[in-house]
Amino acid sequence: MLELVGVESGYGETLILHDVHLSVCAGCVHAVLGRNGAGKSTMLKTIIGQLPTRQGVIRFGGRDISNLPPNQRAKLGIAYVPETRDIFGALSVRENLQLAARLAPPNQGRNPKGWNIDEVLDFFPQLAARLNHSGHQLSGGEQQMLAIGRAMMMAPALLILDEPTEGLAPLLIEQILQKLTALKAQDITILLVEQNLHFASALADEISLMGRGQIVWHGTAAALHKDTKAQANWLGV
Amino acid sequence: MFYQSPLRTITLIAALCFLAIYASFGSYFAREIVIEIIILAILAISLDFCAGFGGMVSLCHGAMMGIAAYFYGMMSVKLGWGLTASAGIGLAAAVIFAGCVGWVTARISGIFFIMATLAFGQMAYTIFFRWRWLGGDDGMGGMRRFDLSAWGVNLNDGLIFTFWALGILLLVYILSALLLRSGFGRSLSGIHANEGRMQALGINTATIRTQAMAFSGLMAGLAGILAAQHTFYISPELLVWTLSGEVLLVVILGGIGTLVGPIIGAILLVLMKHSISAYTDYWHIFVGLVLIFAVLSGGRGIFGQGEYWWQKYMRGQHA
Repeated sequence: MLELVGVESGYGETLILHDVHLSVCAGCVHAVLGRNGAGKSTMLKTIIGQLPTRQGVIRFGGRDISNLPPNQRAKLGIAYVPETRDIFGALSVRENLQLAARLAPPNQGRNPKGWNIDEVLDFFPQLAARLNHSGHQLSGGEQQMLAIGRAMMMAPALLILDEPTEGLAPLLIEQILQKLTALKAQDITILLVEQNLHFASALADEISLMGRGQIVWHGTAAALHKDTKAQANWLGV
Repeated sequence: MFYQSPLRTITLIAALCFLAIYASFGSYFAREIVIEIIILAILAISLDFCAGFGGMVSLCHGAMMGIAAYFYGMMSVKLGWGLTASAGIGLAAAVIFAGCVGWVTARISGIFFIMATLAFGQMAYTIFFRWRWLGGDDGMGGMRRFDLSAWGVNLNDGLIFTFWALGILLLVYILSALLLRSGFGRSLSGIHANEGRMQALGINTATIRTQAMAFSGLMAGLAGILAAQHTFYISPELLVWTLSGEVLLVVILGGIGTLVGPIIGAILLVLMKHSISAYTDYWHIFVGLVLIFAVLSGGRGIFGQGEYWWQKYMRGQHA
């Protein structure tokens, strides 16, 4: 579904990603783990088009999207939940959700099972009571739920999540894990960047480790648990 | 995002009533002041629409207004077209100019956006300043007001023209408010907050920004046609950038991003100008002091500050 071949990217004159190869199969949950500064978020920003692809090719559903602007990639069905969540504080919860519904009707390549506001509220009942509250009144966990709900309003074929557990209490992490497991059961392809190994291995079919701007290890969660050397090399502090 | 709160409705009605009463019971001079306020207020709402809600602080709103006025004058006086058609051409010219500025500047923001709009405005100013056929730096006269005698309305009566202008101000306000309450307004304020995120949500932010500028141009164009019909005379002074700066001052003075604030700002600025300039030529100093006060008090402006206190008070009541 999503394929990165020899991708290079970075900020200004600094190159962060060197020759990244990654393949996410349709319907899979693929987790990318690595230390701070390994290039995980940079890779996601390159996939959604916020950073230009300097070298290599990004394919989505077989189509080369390396040179498409971000909004066209989103229309093809790539939804992105950033680490900072980026809830619009000046807008209410309802308006935040409506923003994403302004896209053209679902077309090929996009999941026809896009959500409407009611379905978001069914999925995240906590948001129902907050519907008319403004975005900056939400707690961290609520913001994360709203960010995921907003992404699901876009009827994505691929949901990209950047560290969804960051800054959340363990109880909330458990809740988000349940929700994402439920999403996975709906056959939505998820690309997940995480620091939390437990969280990632509970959810992911495949795991890639990232270090120094490259994918350095690839396999299943079970294989990673056995490979203590890879863990020590690329995850240990 | 724009919300038409009860306080804003009350303030809007109070401001319009004040202008109506001031014009009705005042002298000829009072009516001139009221029309000056109305034209400035329309222009300020037009700027607040793109600056306050879309973060596009433009310094070419005077040019948008002037272009509409000049095209209205050119079509009706020089080419002898009907007044309605001429006004349509004038508005279209302002919309096209504003849309072009919006389209070219759609990928830049902050200081560069301001400088680019300034450059566009000065280009337009220079063209009309040099264009002898349209009077060049002497300006041109001979514009007429709409003939509404079929409806029993004589716009050449000063008071009736004032109410006509007041109606246009209300129309501009309602149109802006409706548009800002729609999905378009949602997208615009999203772009203001985080343009990159809006793109990742699949929204073509350049298109939204261009449309916002074009709509702003339409409103500024209405102010321009009103200005041309008011004095029967136009000059390149309409397009000069200091006028655009004054409009920005009005928006900030009244309260940016409130729509009502710009009307309050226009009333204050024009009244201050006329009352203080009766005593001293240095009236700008006093306007400057008030502006500094407005900016230092959290940048909310006069109406914005009042609204802030009101909301704080209301929260205190409920707590």
